[in-house]
Amino acid sequence: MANKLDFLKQFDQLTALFPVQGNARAVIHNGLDFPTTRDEYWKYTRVTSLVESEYVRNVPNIDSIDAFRVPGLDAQYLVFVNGEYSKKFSDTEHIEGVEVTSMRLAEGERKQQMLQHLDQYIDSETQAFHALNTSYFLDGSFITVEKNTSLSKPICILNICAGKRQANNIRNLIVVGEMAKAEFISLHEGHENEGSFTNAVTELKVEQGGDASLYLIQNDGPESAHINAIQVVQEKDSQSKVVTITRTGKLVRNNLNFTVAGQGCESNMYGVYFTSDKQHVDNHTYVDHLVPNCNSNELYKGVMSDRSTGVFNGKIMVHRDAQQTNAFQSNQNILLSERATINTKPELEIYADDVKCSHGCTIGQLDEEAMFYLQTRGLGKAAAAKLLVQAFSGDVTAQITNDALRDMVEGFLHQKFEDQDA
Amino acid sequence: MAYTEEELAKDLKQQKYEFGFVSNFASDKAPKGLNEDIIRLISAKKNEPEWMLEYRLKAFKGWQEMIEPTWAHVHYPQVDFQDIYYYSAPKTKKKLNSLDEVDPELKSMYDRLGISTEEQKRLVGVAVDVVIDSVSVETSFKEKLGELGIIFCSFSEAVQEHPELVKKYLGTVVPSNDNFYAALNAAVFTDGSFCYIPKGVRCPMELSTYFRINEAQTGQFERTLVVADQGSSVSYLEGCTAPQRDENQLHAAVVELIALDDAEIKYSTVQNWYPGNEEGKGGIYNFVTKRGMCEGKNSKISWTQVETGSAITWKYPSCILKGDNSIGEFYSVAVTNNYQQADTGTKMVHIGKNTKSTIISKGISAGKSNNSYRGLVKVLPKASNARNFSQCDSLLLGSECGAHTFPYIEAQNSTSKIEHEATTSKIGEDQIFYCLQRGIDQEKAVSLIVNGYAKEVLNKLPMEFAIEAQKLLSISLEGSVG
Repeated sequence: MANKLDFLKQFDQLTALFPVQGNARAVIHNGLDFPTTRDEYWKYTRVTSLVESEYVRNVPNIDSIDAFRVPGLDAQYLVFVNGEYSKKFSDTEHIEGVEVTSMRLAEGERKQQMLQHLDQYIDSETQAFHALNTSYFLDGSFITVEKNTSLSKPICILNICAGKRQANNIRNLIVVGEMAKAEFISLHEGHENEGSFTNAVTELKVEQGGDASLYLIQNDGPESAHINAIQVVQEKDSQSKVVTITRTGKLVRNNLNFTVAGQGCESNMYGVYFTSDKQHVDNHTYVDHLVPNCNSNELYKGVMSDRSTGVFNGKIMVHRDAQQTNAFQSNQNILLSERATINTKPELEIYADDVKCSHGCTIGQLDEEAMFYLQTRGLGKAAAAKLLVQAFSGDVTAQITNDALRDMVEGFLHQKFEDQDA
Repeated sequence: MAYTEEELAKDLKQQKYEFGFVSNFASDKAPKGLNEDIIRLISAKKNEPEWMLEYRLKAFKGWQEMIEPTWAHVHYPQVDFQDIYYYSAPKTKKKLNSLDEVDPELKSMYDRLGISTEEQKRLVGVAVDVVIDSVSVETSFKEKLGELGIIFCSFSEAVQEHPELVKKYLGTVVPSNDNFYAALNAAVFTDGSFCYIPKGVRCPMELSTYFRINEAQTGQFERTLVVADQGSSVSYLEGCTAPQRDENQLHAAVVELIALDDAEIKYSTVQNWYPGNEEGKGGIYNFVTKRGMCEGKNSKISWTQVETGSAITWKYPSCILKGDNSIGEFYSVAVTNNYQQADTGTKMVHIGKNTKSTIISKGISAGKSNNSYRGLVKVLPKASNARNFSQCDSLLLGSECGAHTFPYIEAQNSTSKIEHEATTSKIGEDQIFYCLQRGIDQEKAVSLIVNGYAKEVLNKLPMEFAIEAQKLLSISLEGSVG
């Protein structure tokens, strides 16, 4: 299926729920094409196979979601199976100051409130995958946290991709009100989903003085693909943190964008990717500093083994007016096998002079001396390597403030390492 | 030969581009435009052998199918390639043995450039091959070098006298279809320098070429080929200037360096083409392809550049580290002021085992200019134990300029070690305050701090060049502070 329109035809019978979906369909049917490796920002990631495949659509019956839950995590779960809201598995109890709604089910005032924000932050005009998502998402989560509310437990949006050759457009819209504080987990799990493709878009708006954390955990399964976009928009004096943990996925591409539109903001982004087999994991981040006096911090760490490929592209844009910006970016990589590859490009584009910006990037191996030292202390080679990798990724996992979530992430990073030992 | 404060003060008074004068000597020009006939004409004028003409025509064919690259972070009106004179030579060209035979006007031009050959002759150790509007006019110290078997001559002379060497190496590092401007150069290049250092010879003096664009609406397309045979070493200097002109002139050069086993080439450039005036009018478009091939084991290529001129710069001196244990180095200071735009950096391609590369890039932007570093470090699967260290810093002077970094790092070998770091900042107010408090005025303080910032690179330049480069830094940044 070499033709874009043929590819789109398989989704065209889906009903458009909102006006923005009609607009996006017009955009993607006309001039907008899917990126190829000739596009600078898709240089290392080939998506042709994704947008030339035939997909099927069904929502299988799932008996229990216990296997997909984060062990020991106390959170309010919102569950979607293949992009459709599952009332059965979602927690529906009401928490003071928070509204959690399925987009499809939103009505009246709530719907109006949603339409004020929906598709206002993400770029569905020039980015084909965003437009694809906007065109065809079937449902999504719409979460608002009221002014001055501080959430005691995180909200976990669990998306299960179940069955072979599914194409799911996942949509989240989160608005954190003034001076409110909240944690969100976007958990992607897979179930017998060979050849499936998840295309997720999250819009996160943090209003004045708000504080939002979003943890993206990608565990779609070894034979499926995931293209993810997160757009964070920050108002004055707000804080945000996005942590991206990629566990499985044959082809993973993450686009994380921050638009810093008010003064006094802090934006933090962290990520870990441990890749193995023939995995391809690509993280693109973009921080757009539009106004003065803001800080951004970025730390991404990767360990590549087997024949896997890691890609990192971080871009910091400091506009003319954004004086007194402090922006720091760091990307560190370890290559564990002969045939592993890392392509990294930490970019700075700076038009203001009174700024402090830096980026750093390293590629290397496990330190031989450290390995030797640990071995003299009686650790086996594998145990020593594991310890070093644990320490390496510790800087990022330490940013996960929720204990249960951090335990799970550390657990599977270690496990991944053990699998490779064997 | 320390550069004193008085000298700096004197230089600072000269507000304008120092080398902006036009020399009026008759020149021999081909009609405007580019087609096969012009290429045949150039080739015939130079009395070139058939294979050379074929090489040009093949490149021209390739060029016609290429499109002008637009990926660089620079903006400029499209160049009309049919509105350029592709051949222009001073009419006085003849073999010269003594300076007395030189056209007096030509000679006075050299004097004003501060590279007077007389002075150079006294300053032992520098041989100059001067290229004016694409034709090499004069080669000094040739006989002396000849005794050692070193060939250092203009490119057209090399085609006549050493065709076997030219044929063997031309286009091996930068193929004629490498990129748009390299193809254009291969089709129409008129002259340049050729240098061959035989086995085991250490070149006893610095070799130097001076480029200068004189004629209006001419493009300069020179070609440099430096071959260092086994165990030899050479240090090569290149300086560039152009007179002040309102229209934009095109400079698309190609430099190829080849280092065989145990050979070492050090290539230094001070580029001071006319940058355009304060409103961004005029100036040179400098679209240059420079690449070095570390062909042999233990070979080394080192690029040092100080870039202060040109309206638009598009230049990436690169090293292909093919031989085992070979070393590539890139040291650069790029200064942009007013409306200048620079997109410059390097490529280090690690192919052989135990190859090492170092990149130190210092960008300084002032006025309304934009300065970008764009670099590639690539480690191929067989390049075990490859090592790279990159540092690219940017300094911003003024709130209307921009500094950008686009480093590409691609590693395909697990034994490679790569480090990259970059910072962007302005001159600290405390640093300026300290200088002011010691009685050093603002402008001098900036000059002092900038020179300190760029010192790591300036230190790599041969001495005469280092002094010139320091002066250039100060001049280029005049009026950008306060």
